[in-house]
Amino acid sequence: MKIINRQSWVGMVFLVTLECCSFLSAMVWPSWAAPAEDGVPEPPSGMQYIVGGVYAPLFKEAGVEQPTPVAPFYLDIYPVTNAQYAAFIKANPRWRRSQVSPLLADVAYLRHWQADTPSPEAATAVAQRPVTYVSWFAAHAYCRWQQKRLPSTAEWEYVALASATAPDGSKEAAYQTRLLEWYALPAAAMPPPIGSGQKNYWGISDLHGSMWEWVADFQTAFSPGASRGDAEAERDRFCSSGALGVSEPELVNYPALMRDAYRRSLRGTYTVHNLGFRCAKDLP
Amino acid sequence: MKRYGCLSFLLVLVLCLRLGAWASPLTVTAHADHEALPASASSARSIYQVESTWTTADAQPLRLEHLQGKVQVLAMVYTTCESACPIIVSLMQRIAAALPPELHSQVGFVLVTLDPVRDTPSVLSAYSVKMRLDPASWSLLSGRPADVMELAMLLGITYKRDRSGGFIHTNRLTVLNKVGEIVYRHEGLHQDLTSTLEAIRWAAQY
Repeated sequence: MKIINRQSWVGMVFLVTLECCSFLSAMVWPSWAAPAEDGVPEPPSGMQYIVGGVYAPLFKEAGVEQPTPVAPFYLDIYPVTNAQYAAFIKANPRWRRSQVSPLLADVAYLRHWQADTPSPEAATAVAQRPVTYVSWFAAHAYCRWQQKRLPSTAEWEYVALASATAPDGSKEAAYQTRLLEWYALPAAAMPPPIGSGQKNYWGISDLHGSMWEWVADFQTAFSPGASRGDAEAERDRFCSSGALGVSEPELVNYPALMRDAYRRSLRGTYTVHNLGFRCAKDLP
Repeated sequence: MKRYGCLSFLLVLVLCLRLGAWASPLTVTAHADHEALPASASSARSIYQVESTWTTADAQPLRLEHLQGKVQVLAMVYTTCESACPIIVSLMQRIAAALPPELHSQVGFVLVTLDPVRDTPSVLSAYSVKMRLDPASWSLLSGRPADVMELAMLLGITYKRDRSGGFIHTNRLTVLNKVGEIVYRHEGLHQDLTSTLEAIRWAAQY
């Protein structure tokens, strides 16, 4: 008894010392920023550090580099909420519903707010939900105001590839099944409050399952009508999409295909009930 | 008993520390700095209402609204482009040469680089000299990549970096009236300039 107690005491003291150390180190370097490496500056508030890597686009395009390298960057943990967007409008009145230029947003812009600012009841209901009914131009302007930017397609897809436990969740059958179930669900009238989903490996929340998100270069998914190689690019795209199932039949990333198709259907002024955004930022 | 008390105290301490460590990430966003107030563009359809700031070949900051007052012929190119861009620039030079003298002071030409990382002001300045562009009527602009993307979206221009480090891009001249509204698009490299010149002449009257 006495011996056991002594051991447990030693154990407890050891544990406490360990906890103190880990707590102190967490103050300097938060433990939740797990993927970060030494020497990397702490991410801005509300963002996570994303280690760089490589994104393999779904389609071959003539002359376009692939796989695409993704440099390290920061990404918002959550999509931008209605409350945050309301603060943006307060500081930038030209982005009010009544004042926005038709060049920058279509007529459905912020339709779910009953007026230029959400009514008090509506504000409470939507405050912590991702803002939707915002155009690409609006999302771009918000991120610029935050001294951030929209993530690129490559960055977004790179982060979205992660499961809860690994940076590449594409080989996890259970995770892929869950993703497919999410994407098969009809869109809710309004996305759920932020943080409803599980955080992925990078500590990023709500990438899947609640809504679509704007990316900076969504429009480059279009054939650019370029000076060279257009017809060829189209042909490659057709062939490679046909070949998707051939190379790895069980691993076709259908959600990514859906996102790609969705992005192709958009224009910069479009506003949609289940299309929001989050911002990214370059390392200092 | 006393010993258990100490043990439970330590346990609570451990728990508190853990919770503290967990709670720390929950502190939520502060706000970024306020950006300069928007310019009052006189038309809701003016592309000059974008809030981006650009850099000229003289390394001077420029807001697009400063292009107001002249009809502007605008193209998005980059200086290391060897195939399409020189043709686009020569198209613009042909337009400049074809303008009646009374319009010379009313029409400007703008080149915005698709490659702001490499096309620094000094590179643009050298390009301007090489291509013999008159600084009185030509503006060569570079900007932040996200702002280049925004302008391209407003103009309906798509571009994508290719494997060689260049860009695949839409070949288009955009004619903007004196308040920055798009009044004409000249598509492609080999189209006749008659309609484009007519659009410029028409826009110069208002």
